[in-house]
Amino acid sequence: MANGSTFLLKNAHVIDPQQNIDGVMNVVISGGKIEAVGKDVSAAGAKVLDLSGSYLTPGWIDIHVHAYGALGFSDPDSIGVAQGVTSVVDAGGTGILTLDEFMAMVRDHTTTSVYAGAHVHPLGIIGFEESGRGLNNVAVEKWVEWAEANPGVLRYLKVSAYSLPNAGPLYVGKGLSKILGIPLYQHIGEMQEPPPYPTLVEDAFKISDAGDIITHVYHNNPGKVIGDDGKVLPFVREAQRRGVLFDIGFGSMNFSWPVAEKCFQQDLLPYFISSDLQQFNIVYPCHSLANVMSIFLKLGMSIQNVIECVTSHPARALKLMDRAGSLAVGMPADVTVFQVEDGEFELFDCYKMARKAKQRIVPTLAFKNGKQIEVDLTRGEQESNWFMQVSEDEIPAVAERLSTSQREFLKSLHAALSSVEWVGYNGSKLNAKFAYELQDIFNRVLRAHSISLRDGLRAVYDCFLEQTFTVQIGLFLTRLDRSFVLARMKAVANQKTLAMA
Amino acid sequence: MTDDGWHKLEGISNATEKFPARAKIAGEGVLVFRTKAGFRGVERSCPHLKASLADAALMANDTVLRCANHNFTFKLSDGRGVNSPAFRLRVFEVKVEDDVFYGRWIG
Repeated sequence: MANGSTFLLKNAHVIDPQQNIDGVMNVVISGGKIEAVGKDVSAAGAKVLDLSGSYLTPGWIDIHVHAYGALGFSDPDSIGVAQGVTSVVDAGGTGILTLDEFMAMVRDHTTTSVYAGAHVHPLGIIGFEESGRGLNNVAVEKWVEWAEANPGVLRYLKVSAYSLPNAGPLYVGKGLSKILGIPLYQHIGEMQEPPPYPTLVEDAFKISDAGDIITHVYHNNPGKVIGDDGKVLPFVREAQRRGVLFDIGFGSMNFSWPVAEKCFQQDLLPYFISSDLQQFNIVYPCHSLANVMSIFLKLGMSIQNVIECVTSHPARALKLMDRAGSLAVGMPADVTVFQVEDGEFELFDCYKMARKAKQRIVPTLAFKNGKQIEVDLTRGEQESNWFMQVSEDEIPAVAERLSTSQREFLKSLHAALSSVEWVGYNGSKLNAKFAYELQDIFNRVLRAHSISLRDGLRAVYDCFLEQTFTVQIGLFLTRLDRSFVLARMKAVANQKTLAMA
Repeated sequence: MTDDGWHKLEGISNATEKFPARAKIAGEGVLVFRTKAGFRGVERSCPHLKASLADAALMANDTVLRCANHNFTFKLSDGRGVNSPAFRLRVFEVKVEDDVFYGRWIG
């Protein structure tokens, strides 16, 4: 039903780098697909939108967001279609042990297409409890089986090239990415963990082949791509020559004006523009992919280059060309409409440094599979979207929706957890093995109850959260106090189920 | 310091109008916030990356403090990180007697 409408989008400045289209023309969308693009194309009976003065491009692709897991949002579409971004890749929220949870909670439950850039760590990124970004349980066979059973979901394999005692895990990640036939996606630079950890940036560049990706390329933390003299380092240049692709991953602490400006002067340019939107940066300083794109206009990129970095480039590098990144006839009708506003704007990097700009990019309308979506740039910044607050005093109202079988499941889970010795935190450090143990118990009880993974996860989240944040279930429980978990689960299990309307 | 852990807070009084107010407790620079439930004190910098908390925002009915730098949030009751449990902010309770402010660290 939703995809059946026909739209005639008139007089927008259409940019489609994949097809070398750059000019004012019309676009016809019908049946959820691109039907025609051209100066004189029309469609009888179509809904007509006059987009004079606006730009129209293939739907934007953000290859680095956090839509699932410890850094994710309660409303992943808020950073997707609501910001004019029709496809995103979750950058490392998942690992081999949590990909199924991602599938159950996010993958087919958003309007935005959400792909997984899984992390080599079995749980995926576990937030700022860094002890778990090391390696264990690299179950190669399981990875291969999962990828075969879920074709098209995995788009890259992420490794964090920092806070590790040596470069070993990067090589393991490289090997696994080769086995899986997807690019290696390496995170460089950050300063979560103090020394004695060595900077692994040189290893990260050296092990990357053509088509592999380095993200956070313009960060200004230990392990920069430029030396103290401001010159691009030789191993970075060599990687560039080999065809390694550079990504922005603006983030919370990974984009610096001075570093970016020096790199631009020396022709070290990004292949992708991505946001790294997460709970910790949407209010400030990242805001949206459009904001990051505006920064690259200010750095001197043309609007055409900026658009390439969020359409044709990601589609090509992540093998999405059959479904995203161009307006070719027959493609899914993913479209972003935006304006380049003139005015006086201040654009901030992640180090509280601003540059004055005279233009900024503001998305105004999007289409996803031919369905019209209103853009709302404020939706993502709402507190309920990024602030995962456990409802400590009262049972969340959403728990009322739980079914009898979900409550039976909670009863059994409560019983199983009652006998567990709780070792969630040792001081302030997470015990990742305990998170696996809790996940194991959850899965075991789930299997005995023949309810879906989604229903099981929802049952637990609804005990504690008014808005569902899809945190890895073992990690989620680990973060809570044992007595609170048990008391709340018991109370919810014993609540009466409301009669279904 | 008194036997029960209370320290006199320097640099703050009933005449103080701007909050959060900079004050000192046993020589250490701290910040005092005025919340719906009364005054509450915290260390001056965020435990994440040591950004100043002078422009931190109160949220969740004044029970949580949000660092303006990276959105890290901390419970004012015990300082525990809400969205970042690995981090803990040092917080202290505040009492006012005869126009004198006193603070006592939690935990």
